[in-house]
Amino acid sequence: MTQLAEFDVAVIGAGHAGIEAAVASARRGCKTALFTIALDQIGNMPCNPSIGGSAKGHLVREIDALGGVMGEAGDACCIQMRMLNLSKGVSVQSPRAQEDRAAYHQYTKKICENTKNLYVIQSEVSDIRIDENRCVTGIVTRHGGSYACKAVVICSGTFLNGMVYIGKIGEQSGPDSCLPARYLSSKLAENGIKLRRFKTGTPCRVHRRSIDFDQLQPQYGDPDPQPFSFMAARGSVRNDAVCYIANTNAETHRIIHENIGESPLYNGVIHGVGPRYCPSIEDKVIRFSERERHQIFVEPTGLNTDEMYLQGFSTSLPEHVQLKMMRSVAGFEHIEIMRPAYAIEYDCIDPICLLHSLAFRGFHGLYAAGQFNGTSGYEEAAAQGLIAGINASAYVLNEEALSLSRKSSYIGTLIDDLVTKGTQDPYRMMTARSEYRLSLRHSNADARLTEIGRKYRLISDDRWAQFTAKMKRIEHAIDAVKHTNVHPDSVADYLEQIGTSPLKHTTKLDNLIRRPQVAFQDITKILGLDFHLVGEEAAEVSHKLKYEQYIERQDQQNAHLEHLEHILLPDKLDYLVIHGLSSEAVEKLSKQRPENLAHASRISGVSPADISIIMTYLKAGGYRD
Amino acid sequence: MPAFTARSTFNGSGGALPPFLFEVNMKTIAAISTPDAAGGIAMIRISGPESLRIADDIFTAVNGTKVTEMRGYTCAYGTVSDGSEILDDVVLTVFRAPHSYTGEDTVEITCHGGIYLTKRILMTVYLHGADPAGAGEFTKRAFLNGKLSLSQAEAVMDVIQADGESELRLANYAKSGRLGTEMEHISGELVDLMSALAYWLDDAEECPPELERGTLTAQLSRIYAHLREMSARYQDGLVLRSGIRTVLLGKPNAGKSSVMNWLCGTNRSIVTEIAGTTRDVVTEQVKIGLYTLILSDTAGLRETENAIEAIGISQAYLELDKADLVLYVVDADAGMSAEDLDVLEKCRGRRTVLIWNKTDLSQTLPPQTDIPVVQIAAIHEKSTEQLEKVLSAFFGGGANVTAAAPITERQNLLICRAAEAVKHASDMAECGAEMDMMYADLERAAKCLREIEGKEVTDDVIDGVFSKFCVGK
Repeated sequence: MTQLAEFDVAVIGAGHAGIEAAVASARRGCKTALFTIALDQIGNMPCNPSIGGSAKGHLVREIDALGGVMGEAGDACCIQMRMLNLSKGVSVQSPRAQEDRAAYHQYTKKICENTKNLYVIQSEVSDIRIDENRCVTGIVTRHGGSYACKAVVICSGTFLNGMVYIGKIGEQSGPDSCLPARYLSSKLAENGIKLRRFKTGTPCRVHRRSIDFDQLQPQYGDPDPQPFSFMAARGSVRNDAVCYIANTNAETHRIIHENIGESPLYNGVIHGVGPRYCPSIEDKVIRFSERERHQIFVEPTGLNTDEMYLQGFSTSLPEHVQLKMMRSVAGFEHIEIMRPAYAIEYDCIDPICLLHSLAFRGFHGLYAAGQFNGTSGYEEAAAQGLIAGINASAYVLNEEALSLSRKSSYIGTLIDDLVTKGTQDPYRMMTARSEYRLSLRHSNADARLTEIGRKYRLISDDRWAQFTAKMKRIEHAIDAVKHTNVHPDSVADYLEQIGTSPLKHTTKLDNLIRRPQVAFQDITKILGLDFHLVGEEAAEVSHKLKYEQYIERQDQQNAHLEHLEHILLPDKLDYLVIHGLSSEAVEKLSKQRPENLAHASRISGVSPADISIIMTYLKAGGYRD
Repeated sequence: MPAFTARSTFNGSGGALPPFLFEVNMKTIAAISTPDAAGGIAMIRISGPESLRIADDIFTAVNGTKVTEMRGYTCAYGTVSDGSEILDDVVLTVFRAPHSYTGEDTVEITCHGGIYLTKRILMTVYLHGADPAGAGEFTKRAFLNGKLSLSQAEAVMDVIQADGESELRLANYAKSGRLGTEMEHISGELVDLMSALAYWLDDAEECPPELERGTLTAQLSRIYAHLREMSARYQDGLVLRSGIRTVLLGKPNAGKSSVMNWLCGTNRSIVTEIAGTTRDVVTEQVKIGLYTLILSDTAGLRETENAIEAIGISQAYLELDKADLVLYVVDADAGMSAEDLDVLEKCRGRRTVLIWNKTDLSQTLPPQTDIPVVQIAAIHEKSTEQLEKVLSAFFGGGANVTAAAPITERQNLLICRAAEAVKHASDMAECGAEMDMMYADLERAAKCLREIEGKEVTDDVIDGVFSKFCVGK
């Protein structure tokens, strides 16, 4: 086999995970190849034409703070932007954008093309070469091309042995009629990597002209939208697209019940495990039969197309049933389907076989990210892609690997959940998954992660300067607030007006701001204070003060685990010889080989006594390298 | 170098941090270090960075010394209080790191034995910030801090393993019993509530109905009341297993000492006709049917000029504060006086029995009252049947006595902490705080309860969200 080229890092797949992995690796100085089955599908959005949303918006902000691509591309191709959950407490607020799907593809493809050190190649990877020391040495393509490389990141999405189902008809296919990847799975299995089947689904796309919008409820973007990226100015994103809300009804549900036997999800044709969130419409109707209606969000897929996406209406029922049930919905009486809804089944791994760096345990230079790891969603994929790309390049450059703690980010939480607990269904991020929710706000992603992005050379000097200036202003303001005394008389009128008790004594301003009713902007105005804050900074100062005591308590609660995080477990530690460990702990620990005691403590079946015993064993010097 | 730092949130794996940082972040722990049985004295050990501060919070030295200012290897005599009442006279010994068993700052509180009293002091220590010591934890810390030799490491692991197994047995025992069913029910209720809240917080698009704060706080108050009740039952369980602390009160010459003798069946107190004969508190442990009473006969409650007797009387009020049961004796012949009503008013909220004594001398009937009444002529009476009935109404019948809440003080602490967090959540909801803050309180509560059950909270909540709600994009 002739070797066509030599790379440091090869990334398999150019979806949202692959793009982040390849761009990060290349920007960090590694000669990087990005392999895709179809150049015309780089950065494709085969499902919803949107980025962000509850908890996912947090991920996008974090990706941006670390120097990733998604925030920038999401802003550039945005056609409608909203901040979700505005009424629910700042930690769960999250930005979400409708995207122009075609523009997003072009934009991300261009980023890849313009990135120094990055080579985009259309070819199906059929094998990864691994030597006798379990080191990655290269990849082989379907057509016999051979490339040398030191590290590989697998970002195969839903392509591995992809099977698309519409009704009873199933065929080998990737998403959006792409070719599936038919060869890599068996090669991975030969190397001892266990694969399993997951499935996901997508609703149909319909023609704009066939919808009676008068019967639907419109949904507009925010008046003054806040972009994803730290570097984008407020109000700089395009924001004129309109979405609509429709509802299913009793007739729709009747049609689904009548035809449920034709759904491959219900007649046993599909065995793959589907996501528990975002269920298909037949799942919703069967499982939540008490609900009289379900919402359908009608979203444009771009500015230069009339294709509309029907969020909430994914199904694998046959096309004729799809048409019938849709036409029962008010406003959809004359609906024209352009692409039918389908379910897709694919190979993926149980991520428990990965380390926190997203490297495969027991291999050198082999990394994985995205749906291949058992997650779902563009944002979850991109987040992992970025970390895998940073770490694959760190491996090649012999730098320290990046492993984000749960406390630092949703990205850290996502990866820790995946590698310590595994996942039984496609994993979606939710804010409820974090025990640090109150401190992991979308609005402080920059404060939490920019320094790490900078350390890994993904943050420019200009951005770094802007960031440090912002942090100084915020810190200065908080310091000033805590040193400001408020005399009862000066705020008596205001406090009465907002219905909270008057001050009895002179009080520090931060105590006053902690009252739920007191608004930071109002009280500082009344007191004639100006902290020279810019943009969202005043809101951020307010959040920090209002949540401070809660966050302290949250951190106290979690301090013990953090302490355990610093106690590293040697690679070759033999749990069998540790006196006193329970046999269940020995078995689980030997299999999963956690990196530190905190990870070990999160493995089910490992008790606090087991953790104490390991601690004692290590201290006693029972382990010698 | 910028003035802020993200370093604390950043954990580079294989980083520059030394593998052992045992000194940092160590919690302060406490436990009873004497055998779990009634004895002459008992000792509670508190170890860790906060131990002196915690001891200082609950201890008042007779000579006014502050615990935080005491030198190592010194003692102080004083009282321990839970904030509302004095629990016991104790001797407190301070050890300064590294000169202690564990190598950390340590305080040892030596108190007057008795399971009930000792556990109440321990609970007070917990509520001021200490955590229950885990399996073999004092020994483990001693080892980690270099106080034990390497060759002792295996012995340490044995201790941890044995303690861990006994903890596990206790936990399993609790799981299988009435506590288990109840815990499952109540933590299930809490997790359901959290799932609903988590769904509401996370799901932006399906537009779930606005959460009704009123409904939420009502649910929270119910859970709070239930938790308080469980904890109270634990106290009762302790009371039943370690004895009901009973105070005999009444005006001079109401016949307290003869009531005491009736209960004890001996001539323990001097019975005379002269008012004010009993000056010291006399204690006696007696078995009344299924119940053990720890009886204190006190000096007659009467304003007095007599100095010696005055000490006895203030002692009587102190005893009243600690009592689980008050037996208030009234001379039927003298009838109910304003003073009697006064003292009974002070007993409100405590389990109180009116002993209508000397019925052989008078036909006067006791007044109409909601307090249970036992009518006797103590000097002649032999049967305690009337009293047993009242006790059974107060402390539960036969089966309950033996099966009374078999929970440990650690489990009770977790229940109390959960209750406190639920209360806080409910208070915050009422004053309009954000729901994500409230969720953090509930998470804290659920974690305490799930710790008793040995289960994970987050996974249960997520499962709850997916199984009960139709989650959109």
